[in-house]
Amino acid sequence: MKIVILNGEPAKGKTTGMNAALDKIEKTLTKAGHEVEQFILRDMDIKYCIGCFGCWVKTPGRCVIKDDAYIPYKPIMNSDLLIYASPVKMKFISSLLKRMMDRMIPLIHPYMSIRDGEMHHTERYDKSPVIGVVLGDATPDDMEFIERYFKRTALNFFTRVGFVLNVDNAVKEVENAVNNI
Amino acid sequence: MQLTIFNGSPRGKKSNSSIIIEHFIKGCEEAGKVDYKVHIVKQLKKAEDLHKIYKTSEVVLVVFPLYVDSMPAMMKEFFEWLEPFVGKKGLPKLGFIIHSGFGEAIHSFFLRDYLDKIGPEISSEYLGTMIKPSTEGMAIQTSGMVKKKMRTIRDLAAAFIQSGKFDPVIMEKSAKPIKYNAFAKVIIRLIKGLGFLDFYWNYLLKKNGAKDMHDARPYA
Repeated sequence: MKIVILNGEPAKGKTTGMNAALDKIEKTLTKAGHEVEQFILRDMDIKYCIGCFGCWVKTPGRCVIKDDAYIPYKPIMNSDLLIYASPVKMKFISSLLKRMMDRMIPLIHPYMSIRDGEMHHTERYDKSPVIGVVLGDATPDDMEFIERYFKRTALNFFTRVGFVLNVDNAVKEVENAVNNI
Repeated sequence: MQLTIFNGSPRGKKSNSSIIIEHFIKGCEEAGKVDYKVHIVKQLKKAEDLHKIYKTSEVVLVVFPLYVDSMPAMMKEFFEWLEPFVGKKGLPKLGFIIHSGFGEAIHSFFLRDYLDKIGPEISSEYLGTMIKPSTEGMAIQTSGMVKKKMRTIRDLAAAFIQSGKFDPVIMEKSAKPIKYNAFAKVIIRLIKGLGFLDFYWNYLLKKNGAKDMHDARPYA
């Protein structure tokens, strides 16, 4: 399985255990035969989406902002599993991870259609990876609340949420969670 | 009343948030006297810039759009910057208006629920969150259409000046439809089939000479 990890931990080092856990997850999954690529978002130049919709109406499918945000696009669209990883900050994912997520709208169409009884964007690509989520500093309430968020996002990105793990257990549980997708 | 307004749109001054703020101020002025100042979130360079404004405000209104099913990343950073204020005394009253291009309010429910969680922690009184659907494209709509669409914003403002509260009835009225009903869905499917539903995006694609590339998949 091809797996992409978006590491949305803004702090370097071992402050929250997130960086070390993601490195272990990468090693564990690679050892199990998966092809894993981790993007450390804090080391990349990712500017804020400014809502210009250039990626929809000027250069369809490509963001007009010149920075590093496009680098994970191809690996993501060719992966089977996309793991979003972030510490919980003010009861939600980090602004760093959200910055990358906002920049992912070139991967869908501006057009709308009715799906699951609601209006949603239509797909640009034939398939999207299943979503996995790893959260740090998360209470059970945070886990449940943020899972709800990713389930909404999955609707607009034509996919589903495969698992949501707390970083404290993620290293132990991720292989099983991946196998159950 | 001294009102501090934050425009949290990543588009800054040229945004639908600006139009909403303009109508909120009009509604306030129609109902009474209000002293206000508008700050653009994207112009705040560091947490201290926000702290200085926030801790000296009496009432704070934050207006911003839905981005990928929740707040734009710069608004998430705004909340992270406010973390030192969690549970502190002497904070301002706080309310939000969130808006989106989606015609159905359900898309904004997660964000409203987030603000319902965080709002009380960073304010002396949480006024609530108003959802305003269907705000994309206001720049190309007639002033009459925009004025009609902004009616609930002016009503919320006027009621706020009179009572100091966000009126739950007006907020509920604004957050409609939650989902399109069966009849509306039939019409939408019909309009989609005729190509009119995609008119706005196709108009912009054609204007930019990009219509032929509309289905590009550069990262396949």
